[in-house]
This record gives sequence, C-alpha cells and structure tokens, in this order.
Amino acid sequence: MHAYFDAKDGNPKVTLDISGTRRNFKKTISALLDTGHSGSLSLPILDLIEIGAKLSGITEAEFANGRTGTVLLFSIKVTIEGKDIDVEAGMIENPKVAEAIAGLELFSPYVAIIDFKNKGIEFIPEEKLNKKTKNVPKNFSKH
Amino acid sequence: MPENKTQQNLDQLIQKARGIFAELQNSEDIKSNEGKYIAIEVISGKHFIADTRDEAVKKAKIKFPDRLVFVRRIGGLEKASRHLASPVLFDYARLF
Repeated sequence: MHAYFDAKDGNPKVTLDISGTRRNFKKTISALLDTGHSGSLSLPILDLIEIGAKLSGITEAEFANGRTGTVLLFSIKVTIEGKDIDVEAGMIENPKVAEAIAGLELFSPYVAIIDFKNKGIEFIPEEKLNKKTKNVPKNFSKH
Repeated sequence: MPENKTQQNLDQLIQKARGIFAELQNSEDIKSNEGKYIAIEVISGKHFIADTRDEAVKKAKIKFPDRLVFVRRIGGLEKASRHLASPVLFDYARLF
C-alpha cells in the first residue's frame, strides 16, 4: 500500500487496488485518507460501475455538514499488500466527485505514522512496529 | 423449499429496518453493544452484531447471501466524509 501526500492538493492519500464482479479486472485508485470518516471506503459511482460492484445493503450515516442520510453499500475487494480484503464500500452519489475516500475502518489493522513536517506517511502492521520501537526509551510518551 | 418473498424496495427496507432497530433499542443485546454495528435483514427480522460495518454485513450475508441488509452503528451514527453527502444532484438526472 502506497501512502503519500499529494503535491497537488496537499492531502494525505493512499493507492489501492479495487475489484468487483468483473472478471480479472482490478482498478488502481488513489483515495483520500480521511480520519473523519469512520467507515472503510467510499467510492465514486463511476468506479463502482467500472469494477462491477454488487449492491449489498444500505447504511445510515451522519455527514460532515450535520445532515443524516442513507448511503448505498457495495461488496468489493480491496487488495492490500497482496491480500484481498472484503469491504462494504459506500457509494458517493455525487457524480462530480471523482475521488475515493479511505476511512478509519480500512486501516484498523495498522499503525499509521504521519510526518506532517516532511510530508510522509507510513502504515505499519503492529507486530512490525513493536520491532521498530524496541529501543524507544521507557519514558517515551504515548500521547 | 425456496422462500417466495420478494426483495422490497429501498424505502420500504429502510423504514422496516428502522422499525426493527427501534424495537430492539431497549434490549440488552443492543445496550451492551454500544459503538458496534448492527446489520438487519428485514424480511426475516434477524439481526447481526459485529465490531465493524464490514463484519456485520459479512455475518448477515453468510445467512442471507442474496438479500440487501440495513446496517448502522449502535449508539451514534457512523460519521461519513465531507464530500459523501449529495443532497441534490443539481445538473444530472438521477441514475437510480
């Protein structure tokens, strides 16, 4: 999984491979990393159509503007580090929006290190992080 | 013998699922699972609780693979992202 700060808009993003029911077809997308999004992944309607995603359900959510509403969910697969993960992706209805949004749930198995100063992001599985931080002093603050 | 009940339209599904959730809201099952997710299959009325939205839907799909399910967070609603909301599709005809 490649994570980076997009030089065009300055936002943190991740590159993901997504697939649906369309045979042998994977699409590589870049998704905005949004810590205010508690779901896993939201995809523009055109991406969902392109991969042949199957409608699986509907959810209720509260949007950033305070409005509550419903969001259609589609079953897709996301390939992260060679593994296919089943994800219920929300549909972004607005066809003007072309960018996917990756939320907290998608990254729950990872520890993220975001270096705002040098514009770098790294996702590390917890077991690898423990190895990396083995030599951190005992008084290192977790906060 | 296969069930003869047809899939409901989305509005009916949402209304029925909200009704089922409202009935469940005071149950111990719901009270003790605040912050988790519930997936409701409205035709059977069955519900499935899990830590994440994806897991809740997955549990429901094992039992009902071809049914649409309604899923929501127990307690406060799930927070959706900034440009997920689409109150009006100004320049476009609706696709659905």
